[in-house]
Amino acid sequence: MTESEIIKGCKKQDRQCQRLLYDLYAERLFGVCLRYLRDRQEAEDVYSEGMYKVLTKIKQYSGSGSLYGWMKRIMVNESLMRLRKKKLQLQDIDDVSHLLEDDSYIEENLFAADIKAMMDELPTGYRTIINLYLIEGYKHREIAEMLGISINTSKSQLILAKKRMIQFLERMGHPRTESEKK
Amino acid sequence: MKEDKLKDSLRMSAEAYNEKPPQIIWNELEKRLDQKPNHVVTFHPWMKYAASLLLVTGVVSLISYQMGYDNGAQDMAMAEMAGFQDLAYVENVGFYEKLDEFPSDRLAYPALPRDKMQVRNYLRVNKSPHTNSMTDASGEAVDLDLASYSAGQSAGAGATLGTNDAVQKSKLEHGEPDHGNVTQTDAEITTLADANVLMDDDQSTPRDPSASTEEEAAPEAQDAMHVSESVDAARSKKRQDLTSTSEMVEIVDDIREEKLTPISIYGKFREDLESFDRAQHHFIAKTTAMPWMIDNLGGNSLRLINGGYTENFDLIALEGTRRAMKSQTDASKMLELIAGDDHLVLHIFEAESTHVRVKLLPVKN
Repeated sequence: MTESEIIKGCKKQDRQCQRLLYDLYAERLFGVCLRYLRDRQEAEDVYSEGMYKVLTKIKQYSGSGSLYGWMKRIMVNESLMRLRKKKLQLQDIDDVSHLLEDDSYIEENLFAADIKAMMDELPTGYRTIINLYLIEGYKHREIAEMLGISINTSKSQLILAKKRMIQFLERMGHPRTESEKK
Repeated sequence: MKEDKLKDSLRMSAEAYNEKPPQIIWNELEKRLDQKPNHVVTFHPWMKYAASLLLVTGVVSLISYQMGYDNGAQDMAMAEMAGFQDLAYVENVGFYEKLDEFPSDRLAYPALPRDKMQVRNYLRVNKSPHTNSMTDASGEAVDLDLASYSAGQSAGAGATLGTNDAVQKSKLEHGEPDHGNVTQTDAEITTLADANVLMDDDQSTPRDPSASTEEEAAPEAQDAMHVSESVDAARSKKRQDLTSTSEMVEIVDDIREEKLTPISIYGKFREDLESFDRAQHHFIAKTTAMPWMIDNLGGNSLRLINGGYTENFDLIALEGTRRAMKSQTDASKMLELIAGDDHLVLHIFEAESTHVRVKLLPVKN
């Protein structure tokens, strides 16, 4: 059964098609929730709620974009809603020019490190910005709207998150050279 | 460029988070989906307009119904719609007595409580020729209740005269005859003699019975001419005495305030409006079942003829095309005529609780 047939069946509330759709993207969508929410139970709740919305509101899917992109957006929104309920704290730093860092050190050493462990160690605010900006590909303006913060706050959070990543990599035994420190 | 590489690295590493969710999530999800109704009502934008239209229609209907109920007799359309177009048919002699026994199933509306049946038509009399407000003998504004006035005339002393009650009582206590209303009447005649459309002042013009289309009305009209001559002579003398006062009487309240009474009569009448407008000597209004004749006796008096019923009325008040008249033989009876562009409304008041109303509508054959 093709994806379009599955969508058609889901729009008719066909349970078999719903199950097929659920299974098709379950791992990836659940992974999205796990990336945003550190607590597994919370991630499961958010995923369950997100999938319910996907299956009940699939008639709103126009078919213009990818189905996965549409579903992922729902999961991200659900995750952000949950984070907002927990009063996500984001440090607002207006002037971030002095914090600009060279990303080369992170790039070179990131493969060697346990990225998942590093992400889990990051504070929620940093991790959210990295997820939204670096992984999901949202722009700072979009992130600012989604989280209800200023664009500068979004930028500063990203820079601070990178600094924290550098610290993590150094702790993992990947010391920076003098040139990288400059 | 470097940030793009970082993004790629992180996106690839993000797959490390992918894992199969617990089976229990699907089970719970399936239960929720089972509880959800299959038929989902989709809201379309046009639905709000339809809902608004329904709401407005409902409100308008409700208001219309309420207004129709409140206004009662003034809106003849409802009565006509209900098929009461010919309720003016009343057996010949003993007109008012018959009305009292008028079967309720022939009435346009169910009977109202007795206290709501009273007609409140106030006459505002102004004794100053330069103002439109009515004043009594002491210069204060006076309201006269038509129905109460009628009752007062028939009952003699003790009648209530609206807000003029105290003045009237005072007059009675001092032994003064209660003819203040008569004075107002005559003054009104003086003031409005020239402007009267319905009543022709040209008394030298002989009344032509052949102008009537109703032969049975002619004998009464002939008799009325003899009676009216003496009445007119007396009235002319009064007018001369009161020429200097130039009183103005106007009916202040609106017909819309009138309440429908159980003995209201509605009917479609055939009438000759052109002759009415030209103030010819008499004017015929005829129902489909029985003729009504309004015979102009001259001198602001007329005779109302309906089958065997005949009664003469004198003008006591006028406002525009509305005229209030008093019976010459029975002071408890009042008559009101309202001349519209295409119809004539006739009201007969008797005492406080009697209200006979006839609407004369032209019917083009």
